[in-house]
Amino acid sequence: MSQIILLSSDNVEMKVDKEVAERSILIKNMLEDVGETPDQAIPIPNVNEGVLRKVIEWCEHHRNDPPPPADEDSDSRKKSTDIEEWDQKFMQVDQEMLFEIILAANYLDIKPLLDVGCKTVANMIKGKSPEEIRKTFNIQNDFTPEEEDQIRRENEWAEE
Amino acid sequence: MIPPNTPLLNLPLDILLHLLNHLTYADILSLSLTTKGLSYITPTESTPGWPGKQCVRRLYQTFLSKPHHDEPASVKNNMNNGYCLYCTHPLCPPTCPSALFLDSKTGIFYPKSLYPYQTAVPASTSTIPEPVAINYYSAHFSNQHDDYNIEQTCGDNDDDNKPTYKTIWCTHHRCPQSLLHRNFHSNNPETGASHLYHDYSSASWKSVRKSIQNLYIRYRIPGFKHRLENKSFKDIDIQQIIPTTTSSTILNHPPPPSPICPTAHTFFDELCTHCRLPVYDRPWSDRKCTCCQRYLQYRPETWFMRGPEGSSPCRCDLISVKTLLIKAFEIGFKRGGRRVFYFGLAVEVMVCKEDVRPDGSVWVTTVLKMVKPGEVRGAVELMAGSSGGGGGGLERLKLEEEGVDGYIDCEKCRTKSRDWEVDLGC
Repeated sequence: MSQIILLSSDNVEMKVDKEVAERSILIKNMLEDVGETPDQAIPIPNVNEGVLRKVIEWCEHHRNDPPPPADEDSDSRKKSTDIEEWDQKFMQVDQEMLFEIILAANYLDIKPLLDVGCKTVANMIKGKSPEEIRKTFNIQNDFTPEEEDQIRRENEWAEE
Repeated sequence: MIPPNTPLLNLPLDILLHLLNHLTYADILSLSLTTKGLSYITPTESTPGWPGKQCVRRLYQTFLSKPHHDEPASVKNNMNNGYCLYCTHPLCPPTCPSALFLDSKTGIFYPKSLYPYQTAVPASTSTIPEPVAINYYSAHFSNQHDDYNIEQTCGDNDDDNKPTYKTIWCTHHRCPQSLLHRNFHSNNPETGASHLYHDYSSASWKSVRKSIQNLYIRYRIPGFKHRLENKSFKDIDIQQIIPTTTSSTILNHPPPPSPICPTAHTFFDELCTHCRLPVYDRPWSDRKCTCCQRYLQYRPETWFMRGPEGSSPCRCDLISVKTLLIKAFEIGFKRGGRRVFYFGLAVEVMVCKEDVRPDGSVWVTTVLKMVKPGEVRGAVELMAGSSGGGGGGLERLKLEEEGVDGYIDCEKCRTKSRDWEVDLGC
């Protein structure tokens, strides 16, 4: 099986099976454009070594997965909780890494990985109050009391 | 300004929109209220899943904390004493006048006057193990008896056993009624609701609730010999809990029918005013008062009566505490049925003689009476979710008009209950 070399943003080379790397639509298109397996490393300038290793780990685990279906109805609300057990464990990383994986998945155009990442974040938000969300994601409340009052007034109970 | 260490806020718009696709309307609204940087995602009527105007307003009311405009500056300045473990609302400082402390060990709410709030620390689920929390009581009484030296007198002061509280409810914060309802079916163990449900279902809190329901039976029985005995309470006939006024209490008129509803779950306890520990073994307390035990030997018959200062060998005094079980949360299920969550509220009571005039008649009896009926009324309403802290909508425990302190309508039997004034028949 042919292999290709990926070059992370911090100049670390990683050999991966072509089939695994082609889980990324970006790399797949690139390889198709080139027409043959390149001898030189393919630079992935937006992804560092640590994140790229995680992404490759995910791609290797899902190398035999069927291709994702065509664009789903964008209006449909997707269930956030249906994450495979392996993916759940895979996503048990610190928040910085989690968001790096999401950004990498978006950049490399790996939709199923992006989906898993977003679902994981969505699950961290689901059912929480604004204050809980702030705490979870280290968000500073920058609403002034006056601004909060205004929102409150705008949404006060009134006769229907 | 968006802090740089908040990756969620730095997500590209297309990813954020992808993320929002996995959230419900309420979740998106909650997220949009976290910071101005996310205001633009505030869902509108055209957003899929719009639940309707009333629900949206309710969501806003739930998500937005209550203003503190009417508070003195000192209270405002002391805000941010940490966050509620359950709903993450900022907590008022322990000095908040209306503070009710949810004791970590017992799951009972104590007013400031019955809790050593000066030394109490907020519980942290990760750092403070449950067994460390202990059932402490009144700081109020130590304040009243400043000349008493607790350490010298009782010799039972252990810094390692600092009381811990899970949260503080007050007129500024009461976990929202919807907290459990919104999250009851959530599998996410990180939500505050999960924490609350975990604590509520813990063995220690359960045993306290069970004990309250069993122990109060003993204390319902009028007369002097109502002290807790080391017996199994399971077999006590429900009839025993209905007090019978002895003939000696009647002066001019036979007593009215028993005013006490057996379904009102309350029990009484006697605590040392120095160490605020129960004078008898309690299932939920690791320790009990040792100083008062000597006192009991001297005055076995009237030990629960508050005597003059210095009347006991160690100059200890006793405080009577009544614990009420109050319905704090209720979940209705779509397919019918409901789940009710009760929490205990400790109330200070005192023994006194009183003329009672039911229906114009006169008779004198010894009663347990609330020491601070106004404070209790507020606390009960707060816990029942009928006032303060953003609560509302739950059944109220109806208290009568001002000036008729301590009367309560039982929500189950609908009798006008003199529940605060339990006849001891002496």
